[in-house]
This record gives sequence, C-alpha cells and structure tokens, in this order.
Amino acid sequence: MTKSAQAAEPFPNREELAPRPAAAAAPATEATAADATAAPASDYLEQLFAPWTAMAGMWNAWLQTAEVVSRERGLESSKLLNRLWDPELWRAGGLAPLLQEMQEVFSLPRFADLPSFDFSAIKSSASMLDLMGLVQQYMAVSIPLWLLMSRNFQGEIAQRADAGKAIKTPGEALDLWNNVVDRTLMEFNRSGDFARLQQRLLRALTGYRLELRQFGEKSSQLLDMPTRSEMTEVYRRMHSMQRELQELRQQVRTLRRHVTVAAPSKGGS
Amino acid sequence: MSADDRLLSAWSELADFSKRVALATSALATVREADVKIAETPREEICRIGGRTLHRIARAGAARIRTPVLVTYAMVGHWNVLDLQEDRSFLRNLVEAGCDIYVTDWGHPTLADQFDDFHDLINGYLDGFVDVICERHGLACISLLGICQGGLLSLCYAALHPDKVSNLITAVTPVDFHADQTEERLDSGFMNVWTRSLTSEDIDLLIKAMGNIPGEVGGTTFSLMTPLRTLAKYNLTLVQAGQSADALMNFLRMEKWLSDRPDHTGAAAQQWLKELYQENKLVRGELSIGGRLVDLNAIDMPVLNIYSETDTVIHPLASKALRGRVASKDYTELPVSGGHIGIFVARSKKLSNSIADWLAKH
Repeated sequence: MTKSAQAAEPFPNREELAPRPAAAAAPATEATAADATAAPASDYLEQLFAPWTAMAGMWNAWLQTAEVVSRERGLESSKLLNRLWDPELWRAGGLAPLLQEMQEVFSLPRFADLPSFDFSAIKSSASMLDLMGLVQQYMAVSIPLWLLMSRNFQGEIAQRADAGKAIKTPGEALDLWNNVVDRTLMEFNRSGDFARLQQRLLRALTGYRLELRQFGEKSSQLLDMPTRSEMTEVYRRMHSMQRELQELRQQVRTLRRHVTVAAPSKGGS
Repeated sequence: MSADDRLLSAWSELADFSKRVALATSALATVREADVKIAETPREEICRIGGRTLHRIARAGAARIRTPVLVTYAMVGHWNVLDLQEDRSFLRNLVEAGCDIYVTDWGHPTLADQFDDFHDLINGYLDGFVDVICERHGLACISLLGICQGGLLSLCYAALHPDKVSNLITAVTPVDFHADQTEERLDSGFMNVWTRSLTSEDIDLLIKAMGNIPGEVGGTTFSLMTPLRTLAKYNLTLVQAGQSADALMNFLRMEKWLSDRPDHTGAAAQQWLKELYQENKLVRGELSIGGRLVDLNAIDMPVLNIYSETDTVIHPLASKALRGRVASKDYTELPVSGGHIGIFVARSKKLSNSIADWLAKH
C-alpha cells in the first residue's frame, strides 16, 4: 500500500475507541448481594469527591511550590525590590549593581532551545542611569564648593583690610581669588567626599563600558566580526609567545658570550 | 584711593588685559601645528623589541664619559619631553656635557600590549636594550638614568641584574609610596591619596574594562593635582605666553607633549597601582618580578638620587626613602629646585652638568 493510500485511511471511529464500562464493570457485578448494596454508595461518594480531591491535590502541590519559591527566591527578591524605593540608590550609582544581584536571585538554569532570560537588555540602560545620577551628585557637591570658595575669598579680603593691606586693583583681587580657588580645590580633591564620588564614578563608568562591550560583542557575532574577548585571547597568546622568544634570545646571547670567552683558550691549546 | 580712582584703575587694567589678549591672538594666528616641533635633536634608532625602541642621541666626537648611559622615562607621558626644544633639552645637555646617551622609547602601547607587566618591561625590554648597548660598546655593564617611573624600573633592574649596571641615577623616583603620610602636604602626593581611596577590586575592574589605562586618565589625574593651573591655562597662562614668540612656542611645545598621552599597559599599571601605590611592596621587600624578589640590598653600585623639594607629583620623602635601603657605599643625594617636569625642561644646564660630573668621577 502506498503512503498516500495510507494517508487516505480515515481515523478509527471514536466510539470504537471509547472505553467499555459495561465489560469493565462486569467483575463488580459478580460481588455478593451484601457488598452490592455498600459498593455503589462508596463508589458514588468517591466519584462525587474525586474532582475535589484532585483539586485539593493540585492546590496542595501549588502551595508547596509557592512555599519553595518564596523560601528560595522570595525573601531575597523582596529585599532587593524594597531597595528600589531608596533614593540614595538612584543617586549613588547603585542601580547597575542592584540589577546584577537581581539577576543572580532570579536566574534559571540554561535551556538549550529557549532564549536566556537575563537582564542584559536593560543592564546597559541601568549603567547609563547610574552615570546620570552621579553627574547630579557632582553638581550637588560642586555648588557648595563654590559657595565655600566665595566665603573664603570674602574672609581673605576682610583679613587683609583689617591688616591694612586692602586690595587696591582688580589684578590683586584676581590673584587672591585664584589662590583661594586653588587651595579650596586641592583640599576638596583630597577629601573623603571627593574620593567616594570618584570611586562611584569609576565603578559606574567601568560598569557601563563592560555592559556596552557585551552588547557590542553580540552585534559583532551577528556580523561575523572578531569580538573584543576573542582579540584579548589572541593578545594573551601572543604575549606568551613573545615572552618565550625573549627568553630564547637571552639564552642564545648568554651562549654566545660563553663561546666567545671559550674560543681564545681553544686557539691557545 | 577714591572710588573714581579705583574705577579708573579697573578700566585701565581691563584695557591692558584686552590688549594682551589681542596680541596673543595675533601671535597664535601665525602658528600652525606643523610649526610646533619637539625632539628635534638628531638621534639614531638602534633596535626595536616589540613596540619599544632604543634610540641613541647623536654626538660629534668621542664622549668624555666612556660608559654609556641608558635614560629611561616613565610610561606615563612620552620621553620626548626630555628633548623639548634646542635650548631646553635635557638629553642634548647631557651629550654636550660629555655623555653617550641612549633612550628607551616605550612607544604607544595598544591593546596588544595590555599583558606587558613589570617582568616584561624590566627583564624583557630593558634587559634586551642593555645587552644591545653592551655588545655595541664591548662592555659588561652600563649606567642607568631613570626618571620617575622609569627610575623605579631602573632601580628594580639594578637590583635584579647588578652585574650589568655600573652606575645608577634615579631622578624624582618614588621608592616609598606611603611616605607622603609622614608629612601630608596639600601640594604633593595626590596620586598616593587617590589610589589609596580605591579598593583593589576597583583597579581590577578598571583594567578589565579598559585593557590599558588610557593616557587621558593619567592626564585628568595630573590636572587634579594642580586645579587652578588647569583652569587658568588657556585664559591666563596662554595670554601671558602670547606676549612673546619664544614664550608662545615654548608653551605650545609643552602642549604638544601633553596632548601626546600614551596608554599605560594594563598589567604593568595593575602592579604599579596595587603593589606599589596601595601595598608599598618595594620598601617592604615583597615586590616580586618574574618570580624573583626585588632586594634593594643587591644594589651595590654607586647611586645618585635626584629629587625636588617642590615636586607636586612625587612627594620628596618618597624619593629620599632610597637612602639607607641600598647596599651601595657610594650613595649621593642631589636636591634640586623645580617641578617634576620643570627640572628637565629648564634652560639651565646645572642638572645635566652635575650628572655628567658625577659620572665622570665614577
């Protein structure tokens, strides 16, 4: 029989496939007369409560699942989500690190035929938001700094006036202003506030750069171009080979020196 | 002084300043980028190892000081500041004083060089250049002159290969990277303060993200050391320089050098910032290069240590810390006045003559 002929065969009749309760129930009808009265009642109750039992079992399974999920992931994730309400997080460059933590809390094993559910699509945006927040922080710090410079400048002018050395020309005033600005900025550059800001800026910039790199690498792969990671690996191997070459060159130079030293004594013997 | 007098004085100062700006603008309008040249002293390329080059500064006639000198500058900034212009050339002055001068050129590292660490710089490139110079002159050892980070590399080289170094000169070289804490100064040691404010992980992240440390990062850090000079450079200093052609060209040559900011190889930068600036391993005898500990006590050749009391980049105490840490019985300190770069771009030949005279005696 050909394939097309096989295909043309109709599906078997559904009634022919249906179970035959009468034949299956046949052995039950062989029970005793006393059992015959009780059995239908229990059967009836079982059948009546079966769906509820099944539903209860299902809900129980889901309750257990919920308990497991909340135990394994819920507590951590709720702590993380609560932190989203902290304004300091948005100002201090903490969004990208928070996303990293959330990724770890919500991560799933890798599935071969499903896309990976990480936050890569939004991590670079988070790094950008962190940077913007830090710019605001810089402004928040630099405004009081300029006020401090102005106060210091006024203080210096008053001191000089009291000492009988009042500023007479704009040139003198400019020199004094420059000295005040220089000293104030140098003091600020060595302060803990500045150090913390710089550290946050460094982390936000490097985080943003790393996220952009990941994004760029994916694009490079799509265009069949070498990625930064691949090139870094090439450079690492090149470096290793260069070191070996250097060592060999030094060994050759040392051997040459020994030969040069040995040659005169050979000629003399 | 009455209010009217003050107003008159202010107006005349403003008019004078405006005139100066106009003069500077006219002077600047006559200068093209191609007119600004540095490192014009004739030199010969001797050899290359990877992206690093060994140059020899041309000289007429034999050198008064027979042992050649290998000058090594830092990787931060280019060596050609040592040959800024004809009358401000430290290298030319050394040659005229009777020295035979070779120069290490670290070039412009690319990402291909990011894994070059101190072992490569010292035991690879420097050692290779020393061998080449020794072969050319038929000598077993030469003199080293290291400046700033180049001084530290020369110092480590002398400790690891003392048989190849006849004399060691370190100039504005940091040895004890925590010495600034002994005498905190507002105008010095900012780099120490900044690196200590970072964690080890911050530095690792920076290197991981960048590969090499971009030259601009170093430039920004140096700008933070002298904030007003940075702010006022193009509105006050340039105007002042524009009043004379010579001063303007000198300013523009420095600008040209400053704008050439080579990247710093990542692995070496990691060691520089972590093992030296943060952990101060050299003076603690814990610095390991190529699997060998750098022992400053292995330095037994004559040493000349040059430092500046007004150095804003390297705290003078950080340089003076070399005293008593080397085994050399012939240790000399030479304090100079001037800035970290200023002492090498000054017109005065006092420093180069002092160095040549010291070498002539050793």
